[in-house]
Amino acid sequence: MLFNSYQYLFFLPIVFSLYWLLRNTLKGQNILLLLSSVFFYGLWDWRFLFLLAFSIILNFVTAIRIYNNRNHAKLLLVISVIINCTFLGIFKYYNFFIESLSSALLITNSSIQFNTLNIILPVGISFYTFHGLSYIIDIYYDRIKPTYNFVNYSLFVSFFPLLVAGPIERATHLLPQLEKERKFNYQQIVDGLKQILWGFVKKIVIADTCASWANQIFSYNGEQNGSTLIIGAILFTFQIYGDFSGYSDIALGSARLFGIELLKNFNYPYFSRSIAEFWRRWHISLSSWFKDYLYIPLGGSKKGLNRTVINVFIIFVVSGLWHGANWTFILWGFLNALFIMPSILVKSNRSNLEIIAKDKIFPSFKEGLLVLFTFSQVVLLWIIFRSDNISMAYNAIREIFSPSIFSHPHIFPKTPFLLIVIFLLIEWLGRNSDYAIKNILQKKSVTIRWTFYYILLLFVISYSGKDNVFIYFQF
Amino acid sequence: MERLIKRLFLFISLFLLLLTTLLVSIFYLINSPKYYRISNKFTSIIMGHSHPECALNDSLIYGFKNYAESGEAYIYTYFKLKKILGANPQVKNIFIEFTNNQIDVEMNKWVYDDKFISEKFSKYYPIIPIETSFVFLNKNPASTINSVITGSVEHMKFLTKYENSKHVKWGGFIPPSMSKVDSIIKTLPISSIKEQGISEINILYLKKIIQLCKKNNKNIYLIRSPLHKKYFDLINEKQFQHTLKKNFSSIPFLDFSSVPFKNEEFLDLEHLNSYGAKKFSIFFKTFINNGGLVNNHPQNIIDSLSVIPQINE
Repeated sequence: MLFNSYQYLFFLPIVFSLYWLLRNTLKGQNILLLLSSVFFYGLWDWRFLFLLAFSIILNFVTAIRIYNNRNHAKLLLVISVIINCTFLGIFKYYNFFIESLSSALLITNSSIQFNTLNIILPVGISFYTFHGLSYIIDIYYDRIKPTYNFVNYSLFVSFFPLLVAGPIERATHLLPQLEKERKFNYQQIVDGLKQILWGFVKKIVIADTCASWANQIFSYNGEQNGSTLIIGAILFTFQIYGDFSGYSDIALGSARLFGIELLKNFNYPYFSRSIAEFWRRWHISLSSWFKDYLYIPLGGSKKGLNRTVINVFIIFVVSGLWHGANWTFILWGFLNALFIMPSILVKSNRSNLEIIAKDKIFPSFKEGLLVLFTFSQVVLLWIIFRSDNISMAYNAIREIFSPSIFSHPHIFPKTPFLLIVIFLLIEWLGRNSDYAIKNILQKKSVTIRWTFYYILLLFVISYSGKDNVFIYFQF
Repeated sequence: MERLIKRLFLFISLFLLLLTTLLVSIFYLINSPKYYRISNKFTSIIMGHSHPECALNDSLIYGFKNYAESGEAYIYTYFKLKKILGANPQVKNIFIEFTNNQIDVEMNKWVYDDKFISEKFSKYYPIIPIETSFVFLNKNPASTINSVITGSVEHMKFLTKYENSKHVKWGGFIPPSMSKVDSIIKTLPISSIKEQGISEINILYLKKIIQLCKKNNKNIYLIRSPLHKKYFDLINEKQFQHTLKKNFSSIPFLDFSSVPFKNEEFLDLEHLNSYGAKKFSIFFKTFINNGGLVNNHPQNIIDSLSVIPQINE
């Protein structure tokens, strides 16, 4: 079931109504949410439920064992991590590694052949595997006590707003909320509805509109000149942002309807003044997961500059690989590490912690230039991310850096760019809030506020119908 | 909780009211006859799907307007024709494409399938009566609702566009210039098996078209555009002839399917390209000028003209 489907428009109100009818029983609410999540996930493919169930049972039991058996805690942790990663590896990376190995052996004229497997990638496997891993690691490091409530733990892993494409939640953040009573809060629910609306605007109006043009441009990649490819890259830049952050907004908004606050996943990344700041604002739940569970255990920045550099490269390459089984994702990760390296070397990667031009209307000239420079780096890197293979990425970038960038573009769609400008204006005005329209027009009358929401709704309705799947479902 | 329910109810109600007002306004405005009026010089029109859309260049035939549109089932042709005749009383001759694939049960998909509803219903819903729209809603609710929404946006754009004497863009001659016939012939299956069902809904609406023309005292002709001799859908030719005789024996049938054209004058086995369309348009004009429409045996004139070299070169 997609968020942007009629099924979800029926599903969510029904679950919401039943949930608050059960407001006097926490157990009842959690069971309802769990059953709804099972139903939600099962609609994709009921066979995936078995794998999800296995992951839940494995980590639930392991966590209790780790907590109660400190002598063997490390061994249990290692075994559980290996099992979790093995399943993820088989479903997501087996064919990729086999094909890469075969290509490498071909170069050496070896006659050894390996067979690929005919595997369907289970939806959301990267996300719920990471939920489980973070849980058992947190138990091991005594950051949280294990829950003995199987329903609560299952819900933590499989809660339907975040099951398929995140955000990647932490047990320390979500489990306590599931274990305590949630009170009906009118403002929180209205907030959730507004965030859902904004998520749909990002996904349907921005992302899907940009997608149809970006796909057109990149489908003729070898025949497009540099200026057209730049247009395609910019459109893809907003496609992926609208798509992923839109999904996150719908997820966070949906969770709010049940009195549950999920981790913020995007914080206006395209207003970043450096690549380091970009990675503090883009897919926050993933980058913080890698920081806490990989970067810091590897030593982080505490073991000297050389080790820091290596750790940064490891994190970004693994992060790239997390996105998919393709060398383009690995290259994308590697280049992100390369681009962030200067700020790490001069120790300025922790600057710009506040949002740009906080409490001001306009940024300074220097800030504006930095934003543009960072944005161009990000756009360039998205070309690699978007490409089907390294060769396509290379050809696109080569064309962009050729004189053809000054020639007339083959395609220049005005509508998506107009939408992007309006969208960026709203995001800029709302950049101090969790999501852009949270506090917009708050001081104005109900009539004005509702007119604004109606305009957004009309835009969503008029741009709907394209039925594009969320990009991050494939991860 | 009460406050939320009240507010939500009010919000949704107001929004539905706004939407309804918008849709009704669009419905009312788009039905204005001024958008369907054509010049008085046009006394003949042709309608149908992609076959006549590619075959007849109306700029070469005086007084002739091509309203054919690819993918169009007769249900849309019927409502289009009703609208056009209502705004253009000077139109006297109506040519409706009637060819092999239009009796096929596959044509049901052209009415109720997602793709066709999305493309056609979105365009024509303002001229389709409510009771017929409810049938669409019943058969395919998601696509129907979607297409009303997307169609409304397009209609709004049309209504708000600044242009002197705006006219709806309903079909028209589209001349593809290439030819894929040779490559298609190479890959043709040795034999093809076709489902033998008939599209009842398509036949029903063709009958309605004929009734509409008779009621308005218009001359109606069924026309079959040129087809390549290897066109695979001819496999249902017996069924086609039977349907024609059973349902439309009183309507003149102008069969141009066997008029000779070269491979390079076809786009594919069932559509002419721009070269073929030019030749056929001249042929058609000659047919009319030779009294083809008033003759009791128009097929004789077609057959006799088919062998005249200067028409076929």
